[in-house]
Amino acid sequence: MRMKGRTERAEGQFIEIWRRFKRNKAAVAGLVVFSFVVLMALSADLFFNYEEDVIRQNAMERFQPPSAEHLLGTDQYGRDMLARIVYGARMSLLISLSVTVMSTLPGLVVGFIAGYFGGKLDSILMRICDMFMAIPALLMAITIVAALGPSVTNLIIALSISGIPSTARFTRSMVLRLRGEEFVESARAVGTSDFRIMYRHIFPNIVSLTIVNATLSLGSMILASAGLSFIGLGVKPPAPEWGAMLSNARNYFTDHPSLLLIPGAAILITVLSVNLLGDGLRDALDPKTK
Amino acid sequence: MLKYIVRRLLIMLPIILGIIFIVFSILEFTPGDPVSMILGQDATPELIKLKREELGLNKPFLTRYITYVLDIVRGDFGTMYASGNSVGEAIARRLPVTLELSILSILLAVIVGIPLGVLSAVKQYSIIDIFSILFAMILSAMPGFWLGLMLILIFSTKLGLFPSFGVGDGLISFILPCITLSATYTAVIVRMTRSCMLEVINQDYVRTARAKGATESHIIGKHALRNAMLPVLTTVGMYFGALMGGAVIAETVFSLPGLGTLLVSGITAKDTPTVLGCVTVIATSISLINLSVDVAYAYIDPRIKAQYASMGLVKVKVRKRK
Amino acid sequence: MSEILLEIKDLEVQYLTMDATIRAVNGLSLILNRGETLGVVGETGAGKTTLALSIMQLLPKKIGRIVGGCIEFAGQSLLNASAKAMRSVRGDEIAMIFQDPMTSLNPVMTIGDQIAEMIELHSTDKNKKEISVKVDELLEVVGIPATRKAEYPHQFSGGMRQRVVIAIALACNPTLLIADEPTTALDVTIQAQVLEMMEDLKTRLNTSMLLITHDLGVVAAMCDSVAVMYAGRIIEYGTVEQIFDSPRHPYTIGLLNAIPNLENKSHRLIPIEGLMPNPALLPIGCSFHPRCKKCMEICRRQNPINFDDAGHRVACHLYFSNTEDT
Repeated sequence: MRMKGRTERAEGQFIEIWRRFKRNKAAVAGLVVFSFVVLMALSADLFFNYEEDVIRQNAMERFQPPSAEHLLGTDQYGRDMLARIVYGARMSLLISLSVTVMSTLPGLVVGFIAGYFGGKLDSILMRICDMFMAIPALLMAITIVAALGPSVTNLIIALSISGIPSTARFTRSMVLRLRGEEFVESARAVGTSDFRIMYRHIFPNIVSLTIVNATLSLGSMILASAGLSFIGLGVKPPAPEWGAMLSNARNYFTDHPSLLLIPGAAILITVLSVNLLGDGLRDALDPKTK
Repeated sequence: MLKYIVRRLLIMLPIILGIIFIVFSILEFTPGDPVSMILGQDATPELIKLKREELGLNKPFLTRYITYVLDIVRGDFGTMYASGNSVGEAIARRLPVTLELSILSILLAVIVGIPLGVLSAVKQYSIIDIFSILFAMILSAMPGFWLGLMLILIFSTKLGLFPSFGVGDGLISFILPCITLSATYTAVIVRMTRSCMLEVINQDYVRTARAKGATESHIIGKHALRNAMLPVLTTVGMYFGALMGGAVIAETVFSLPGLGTLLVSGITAKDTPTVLGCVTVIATSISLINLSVDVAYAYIDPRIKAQYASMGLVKVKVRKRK
Repeated sequence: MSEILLEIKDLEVQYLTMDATIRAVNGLSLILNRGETLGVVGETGAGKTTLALSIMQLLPKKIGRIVGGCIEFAGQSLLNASAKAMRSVRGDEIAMIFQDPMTSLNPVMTIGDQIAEMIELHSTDKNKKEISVKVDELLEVVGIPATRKAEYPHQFSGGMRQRVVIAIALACNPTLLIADEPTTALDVTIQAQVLEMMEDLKTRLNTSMLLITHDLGVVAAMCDSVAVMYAGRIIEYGTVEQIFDSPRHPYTIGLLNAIPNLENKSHRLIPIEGLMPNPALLPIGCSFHPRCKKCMEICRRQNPINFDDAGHRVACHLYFSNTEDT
């Protein structure tokens, strides 16, 4: 079994992981594309003016084909598609990154407590997880957004809550496995405190898998937030969000397919790159699971 | 075995009660009063009070929860706020559409996914392997609703082959929604089957079969496939929930009269009984599907069957490690 | 002189991994006579299992490949045999017993079906009933009540499973049985039982056997002749008496010194210092020289050839001491 002691988690290991990661061409491509999307989202203000290009409607310039002025053409309200896609990337990343962090951290805590202490507490926590997981995450998120009302914040809250149980279960199973390992037994035998065992001995062993899982869930969160915005439960127009853009294009796409193609391609490429990155990370961290 | 099924059904009950409780509590936060939505802006306070009493909204939270659960046990899902129609009837009318959509989608995903995954593993690193990995990658990165809209654009609008909405044309109207809904699912099955097959192919017992002089197709069909199907089956069951969630979106894209569209309309109308009813029914069917997957599992794997027969052992083991 | 059943000449097998080419077998030659039991001994990583898999042509696809030499079985070359011909050899003429009985049986098939499968694969004329009778017979032979044939592998202990594996191997009366560490995964008491049973069956069925093991005790008890393997080559070959009574190669001597001797308790065990060389970076010259106490100048430069003395062959420069120019 592959168990990393903390002494081995030295610099050399990161170099080794990077070396393995580099060999996976698809993963490197994913990293490059995803970095590009992030960079694009961060530098959006350098190229476009939010109020002028993204929000303001311009009846004179509806459905324009791509031109030097509008590289990807304009939408049904005469707004620049490229500007909306770029700001849409900012929105998608903001939502999916926040959701990933906000579902991973509480999930880790719950999973740790359940897995480490076991017993009644574990049973209760896991039954609650079972209940939450019996409701599909998307359905759960839909219900929460419906109750709180559609907005970016509520979308983030909804998706985060619906993501906690699976992280908790995953963490618990890893902690449970590690708890029985000999290095934990021996730490306990020399009188190490519970907190120290969790922090110094168990956590370092699950951190890599947690990062991989978080990366992989990033992609599904981008999809989920687009889906919710699509059915009108996420980002409200005129704010640019890829799913909402697709929803707004529903009445026009038969005549103007680019309104459908461009935001869809943006989602597809971003999610694809994140997934490739996540798969690459997983393989690089654990060469056995190929 | 029967004992195991009964046991599982008994465990299901509190989970379903819990699900109803969770949804009930979430909907408790709903801003905006359903009564004023029903009666419109200019209703008098007296009228509102009367309506609230009629709907039982003035009673405390727990009382309403218990009443609701008892009603469901009697088969009564309540009435819709706005129209006064029975929620139970609406669900009964729409459930078949959602079930048909989900089951056909699973079938499609299994029929496409498993052979592709097996081929991919058997011919590892070949063109077909690369193709199916790419295929799965793209499918899993694609938003379902976008795929649905693209299918409408190509096959309904441009080619006129399939209807773009409703279920008016029978089975043919399910084709595009099924492709839409099964996309992610197919991707999961392809990947899962591929990795399970690859693992099984390298197992010692497959080498034993080779040492017996068995042909490659005999080895794959008789030894590898059955063992590889175990985890795949679990995945199929596990993702059924996600599929039901995805059904909401697929139904919205194709305007199918299923539970998903009922749920979304219930949400927009802030119609609590409808939302509650839909979520309860969906969650219950997911639990039932998971149970049948577990039972099917026991029939493929004798080890699991033995474990079920002596249920409870697993838990004891976990506790002992403390 | 007895008839040669299996002859391997200058066999070279390599594994290609992403990082390196691993030379698992390097110019191995050996001969197995009909009816004889040949023990192949060596440390973990000496290439013993690779040798067995090469004979069966079951090297892991894509990474494992035979790059040189030849394997002849009953006068026929196995390396040139078609896939179809090879399938009819496997199981029917050459059967194999694997190391780990816990993993070498299919967990979702009954043991009866797994034994029957072997018979079905190699005889088209038998009907279900005949096969079933034969399965019962085989189970009785290996000491398992025939009533248990409808049970699954997980219902048996390790020793019992190995009996099932042996029953499968014997199902078609093979001419050659390759046993790859058949008792390593078993408890010592069970080991003895299984070995005794194998010995008994072997004499009864007149099967030849290639017994791969790292346990010299097993070799002494079971084998007629012994081949000592080191880093993918046979470094010493001889009858059991020759090897145990007058070992020649420093490695063989080291191996024998490393087993406890009951008659001479004062004697301390002498381990062989160091480890087997990395098969991806074999040393130049004799591959044992980095660990050899009698290492000479020539050992670092030149790979020794065999020194033959009445069938007792040893690949060591010590025995060519004054003939540097050979």
